Amino acid sequence: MFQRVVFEDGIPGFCHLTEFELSDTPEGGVFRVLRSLEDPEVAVAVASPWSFFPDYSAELSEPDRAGLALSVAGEALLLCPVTFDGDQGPIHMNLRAPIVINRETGQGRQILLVDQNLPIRALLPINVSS
Amino acid sequence: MLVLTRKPGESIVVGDNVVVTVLEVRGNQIRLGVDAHHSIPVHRAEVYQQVVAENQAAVASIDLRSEALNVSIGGLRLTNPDPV
Repeated sequence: MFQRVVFEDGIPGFCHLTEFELSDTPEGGVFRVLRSLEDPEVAVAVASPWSFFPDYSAELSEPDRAGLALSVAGEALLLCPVTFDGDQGPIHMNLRAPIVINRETGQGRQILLVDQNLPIRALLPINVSS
Repeated sequence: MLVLTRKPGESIVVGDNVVVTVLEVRGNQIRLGVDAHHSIPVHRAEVYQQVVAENQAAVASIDLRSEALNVSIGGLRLTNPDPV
């Protein structure tokens, strides 16, 4: 199953692409895939930061909250982009710029958080084996 | 590039709806206030460029794990839901 997500402004680096589909989380899994409907070559793995960093929190600014038409936190789905370093290497998560989606409307935005302590490349505390 | 000289408290207007105000000058730091509709994202340029670079790396890297991804965290099995 996929959920359609519309990024009115695209996402940084891919601002020309606005419509994406988000895969469901597989049973027992963590990673989901956000794929462009306009250019299926463009896809990014995403995951909930709380699967790895239970203390994580994200403070949305008023313009971002309003832009996504969010009134309470429960209306938001927050996922962080994931980068794989090679086919066996470590996995990093972008905690500074999560993707926030209004669950009701499917509007999405990649939010650049103000908190400068949040890393753009946080090493995931997992052992990789395939 | 358009170059304008402004004093603290003075503003410039970009288009119809964006107002940038010089709030304070302290040494080599300048505090700016930006009034813009929430549909216009405003970011620090260097952070934005880092996010662009990391997004491009993330998109380029997803093919590197095209096989089902099996990762163990505390006994939890993680699987790539959508191998490319």
